Amino acid sequence: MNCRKAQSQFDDLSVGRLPEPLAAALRQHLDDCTDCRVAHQRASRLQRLLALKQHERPATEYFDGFLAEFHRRLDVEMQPRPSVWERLAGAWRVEPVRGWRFGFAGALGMTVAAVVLWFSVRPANQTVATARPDLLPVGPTPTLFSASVPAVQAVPLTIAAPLPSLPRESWGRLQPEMAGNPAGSATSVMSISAVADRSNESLAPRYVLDRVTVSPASYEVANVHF
Amino acid sequence: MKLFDKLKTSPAGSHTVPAPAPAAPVSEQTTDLHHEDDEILVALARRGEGAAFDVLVERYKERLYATVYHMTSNHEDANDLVQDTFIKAYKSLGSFRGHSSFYTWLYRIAVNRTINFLKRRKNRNQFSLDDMDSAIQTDPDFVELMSHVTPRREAGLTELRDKLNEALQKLSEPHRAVVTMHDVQGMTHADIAKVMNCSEGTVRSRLFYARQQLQGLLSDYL
Repeated sequence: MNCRKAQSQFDDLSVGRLPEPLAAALRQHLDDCTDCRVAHQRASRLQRLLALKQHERPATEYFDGFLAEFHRRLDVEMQPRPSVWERLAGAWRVEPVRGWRFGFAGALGMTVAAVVLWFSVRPANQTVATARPDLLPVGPTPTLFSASVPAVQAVPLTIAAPLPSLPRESWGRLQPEMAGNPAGSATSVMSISAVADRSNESLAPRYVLDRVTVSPASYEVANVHF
Repeated sequence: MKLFDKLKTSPAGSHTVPAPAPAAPVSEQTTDLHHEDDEILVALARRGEGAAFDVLVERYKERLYATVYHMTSNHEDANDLVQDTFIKAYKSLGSFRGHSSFYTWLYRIAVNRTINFLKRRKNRNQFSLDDMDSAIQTDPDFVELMSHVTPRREAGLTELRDKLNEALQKLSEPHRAVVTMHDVQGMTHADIAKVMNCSEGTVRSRLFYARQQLQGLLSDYL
């Protein structure tokens, strides 16, 4: 018997499951082989040590309520579980009062959204409508980027659609607000000349952008001081 | 009515999940059932006799608990896992074909659930605060171990238990299961192979490597 086969049969020897001829051969090998004898002794000690864990168990009364607990858990487990559709329906189901609240909040939200949308569209029309050469916002560009913004000097652009005219009284009201703008300091100038048929006041003026000249742009910021 | 007659006369329709067992744990019928074999009890339970399954629970709860406890080293976890095992077994009675014994089948459920649980609960070492039972004081192996009073072996009972649990927790889940079933529970290689659904050679190999590791971890006590 070789050592490998002997060591694989230690378990069977220790519990007496080995046939007697084989057990005798194994004992003989253990007498002759020191390595296997030491290995067998260590394995036997370890098995005896692990067997002590059999004593590590709770008191008998620990299991008194085990069956009752089993029935309680089983009852819970056997309850019919709601299907996916039932759970989804339950998630959407709301109480009557809460339903009114949801409805009201939804209507309010849609109203607010509609108002915001309407105001976000309307100023664009009004800006073009009020665009007169003397009312154009030609204020200075921010000084931080003044060196990098290319100068736009003329605007050959025709707005094809007729625009609603603004009453002359409102021009006068708007004029003082723009007076403070130092137009000469502007580096970006857009000039729009209004071509309006003054003979026919009912027709809306047409605004024509003469030309656009854009100088070569440089994105190198030369004199930027933070 | 004799139990065999009852089995013959009861409807043998396809079993899905038996009805919930009655809440009363012990009844006259249950006391009669205590003497029946597992096969008969399983057959009765499959036909909806909750009392028959109660007897099976009573019969195996402690053995199953011991195995699961030695793998988890925690009484609460062991209790939960054994409860889950019986519930799973009750609900799966329809799929039990009888190719192995009910006990082996039950054990397989418990060991697989425990291994899965331990994989999820990695690195959470929780040892129970319960002491070993008093019978250990008279165990010859324990007496022999404690009689060698060397500085290394002056470990008390609590320390010994903690050391054993700590060493076992360092094994991988399959190795721990094999060691628990063989060296603590005294199961044979063949039974362990059935429970773990592997060959006897695999069981022996796992035992060998697990013991190598344990011998290094518990060298102070060997």
